[in-house]
Amino acid sequence: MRKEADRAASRCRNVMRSVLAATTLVILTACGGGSGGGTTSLPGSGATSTSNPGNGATGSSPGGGSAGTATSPPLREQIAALEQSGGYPKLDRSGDIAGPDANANGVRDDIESWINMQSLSDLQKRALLQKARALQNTLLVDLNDRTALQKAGEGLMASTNCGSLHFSPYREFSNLAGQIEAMTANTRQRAERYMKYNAARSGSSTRLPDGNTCES
Amino acid sequence: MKNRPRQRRRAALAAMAVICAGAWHGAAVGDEQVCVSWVRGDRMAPLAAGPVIYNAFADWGKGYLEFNLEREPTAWDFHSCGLNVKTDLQLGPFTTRDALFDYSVSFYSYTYLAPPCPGQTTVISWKKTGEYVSPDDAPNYPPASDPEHYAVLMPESSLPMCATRFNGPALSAQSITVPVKKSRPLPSMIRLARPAGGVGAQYVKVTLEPAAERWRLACRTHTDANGDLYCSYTAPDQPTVHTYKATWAFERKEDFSSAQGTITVTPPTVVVGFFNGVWNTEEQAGDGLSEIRSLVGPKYRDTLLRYENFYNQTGTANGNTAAQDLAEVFIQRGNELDGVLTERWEHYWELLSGQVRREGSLTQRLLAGLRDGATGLSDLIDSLVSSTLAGFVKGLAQLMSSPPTAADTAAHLTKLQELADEGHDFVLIAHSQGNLFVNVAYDGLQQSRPLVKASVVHVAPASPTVRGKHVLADIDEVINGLRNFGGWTVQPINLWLNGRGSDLSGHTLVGTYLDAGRGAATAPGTGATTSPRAHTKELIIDALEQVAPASP
Repeated sequence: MRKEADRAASRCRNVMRSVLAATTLVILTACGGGSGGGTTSLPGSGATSTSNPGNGATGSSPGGGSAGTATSPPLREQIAALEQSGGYPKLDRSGDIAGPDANANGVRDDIESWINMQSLSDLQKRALLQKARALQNTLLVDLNDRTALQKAGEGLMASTNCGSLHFSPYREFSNLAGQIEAMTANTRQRAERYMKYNAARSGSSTRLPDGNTCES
Repeated sequence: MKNRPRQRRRAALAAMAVICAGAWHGAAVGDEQVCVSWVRGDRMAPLAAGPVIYNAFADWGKGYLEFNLEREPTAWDFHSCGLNVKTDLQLGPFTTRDALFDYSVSFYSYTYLAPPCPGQTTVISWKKTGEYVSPDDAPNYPPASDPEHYAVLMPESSLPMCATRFNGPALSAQSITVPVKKSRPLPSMIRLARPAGGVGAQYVKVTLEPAAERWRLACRTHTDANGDLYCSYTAPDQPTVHTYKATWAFERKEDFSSAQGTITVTPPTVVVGFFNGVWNTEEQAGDGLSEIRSLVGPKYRDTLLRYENFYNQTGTANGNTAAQDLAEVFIQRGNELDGVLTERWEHYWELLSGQVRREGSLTQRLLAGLRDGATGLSDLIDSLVSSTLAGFVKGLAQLMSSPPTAADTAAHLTKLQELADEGHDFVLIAHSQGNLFVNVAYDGLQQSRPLVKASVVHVAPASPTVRGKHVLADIDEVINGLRNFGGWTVQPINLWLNGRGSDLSGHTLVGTYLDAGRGAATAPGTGATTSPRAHTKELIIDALEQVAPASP
């Protein structure tokens, strides 16, 4: 226990040292004020060719398996095996923003599987499915339709409220919902679309509803 | 004896056109034309049931027609189910001149009001007299010495007389909710309208039950051009329900349609508004608001709390360079270690939300599941955390360089004003960059609604000025970054925390400022007397006390 705390503290110190250094550089460039087009497009594909082994991952090699031995399988293979074993959710990473939804319930199949694997009550799983559906909707809603956008935002709030009814403490739901959010926008295309949704919602106001907002 | 061209006069009368207009009816929709016959014997055919105003006047170009009622209108009973006569509208005779034939035209115009008496036949008798008046005669007309002037000119045949019966307007009375102790203007609580639009300048009588409380509802006497009757209501100190009745009382004499509504006086309501922090998604902002609700509860004393999310996104107002930078860093660094993060954007979102070191997060699950290579990946993620925090500071620095303007917060201010007009007071809670937005919105609200109570709680304020109490932790690396490296004027640290949690930034709302698991002190070098969560709750309660104090 003590050892774990020491490791965490050490990690924090390292991170903070890096933050201070990075912040210094960033502030020097930031203080002139922002510029740019105000869009939420991600950088172009050219960025993907940039690899800078010397900039960060200590002791890592471009080939992965940094701390491994010569017999260690590459990192990608280890992760694949982890996903196969159920140690990590096997997520759809296709270029399609919507992704697969065989039963057409508005929840991506891989996320639905992950929810169903959780050791939770049926009501709790339903609350998470509602959250997943609301988040999936943010990727598909017409960004030019303000009414639909508001409805999507209200869907997020309704699902949050539903979760608060079936999880105690609320933080348990919040942590799971945060993972569903991360899994929903898990590819570059989905992330970009999700950023656009959030940009479109800037300036909005939405009520956190009372009462039972769980979908049947 | 003057020359009177009787033939021409009769021809003109035969060509008489009767133009009729004006009638109201209660709740039905759609207009219809009702024709009655002006029949031999000077009788009007049975009138249609329902309240109908026949506004009849003769208008023809040659000769004149005089309608004389056999009874004096003033003697009629306005509340009987007979034909009522409105005496206070247009009355003749009116004289015009026909230029072509150089004839004068006179006519009377009466408006007849028939109350709703289904099935009743109403008979009206007329005596019609007409007179041709030449220009030469006009000054001396009517010559009392010449009774022939009053010869009956109408042929004894039926002539149609039509009136358009307008179905409507409908009177509506809205049921409303008003918090206790509030005076609320209610411009559209009572509305008199036809499908085509509101009916203005109509007298509407308003009563309230119980009658002793009638003074609470102050209304104008007549509808405005939109058909709205302006009222204001002063709510009592205790929750209750009042019933009011609005009656369209045409010309203050005849009750036509009426409508009933309720005024429900509810316990006091305060809106707890949340202005989110840097790089929050809408989902995360809603999550923060939900955490605040779980902290404070659904009510404060007897005051109901309504939770509202006022979402803003970093960079939307002044460019998204910092957001692009964050994404670019993730893309570039994701190519390291065989590019394992390149298509794993779930870790990007956990980086933004400060979750990568939280036990059970996707990132921690990935690291825990790797036998080899975990250290390298862990270091890479730590490095990304550093870059992300630097990106936070950069985004906030940009926002402080070019702070949000009234235009940027216009939609939020409009919502706040709407809520204020519904009788709400406010506790506004801002986190991180949300403080820049809340300041503008709060100032706008105070200027436009000076009587509204509002207080502000600033959490980790990334703003040079504040409008209420604030909390800023010593370990907040984002605000410290602004202070130490950006030279920005920020608020002083006033909470010292025991150690760090999984939130490496020391800046997130939930991970740091609502953390119940750590001790905290309100003075440096002293022992922990509270927790961040308890301290933040204290500030919110203090703000609630300002807008919803206990009754004396």
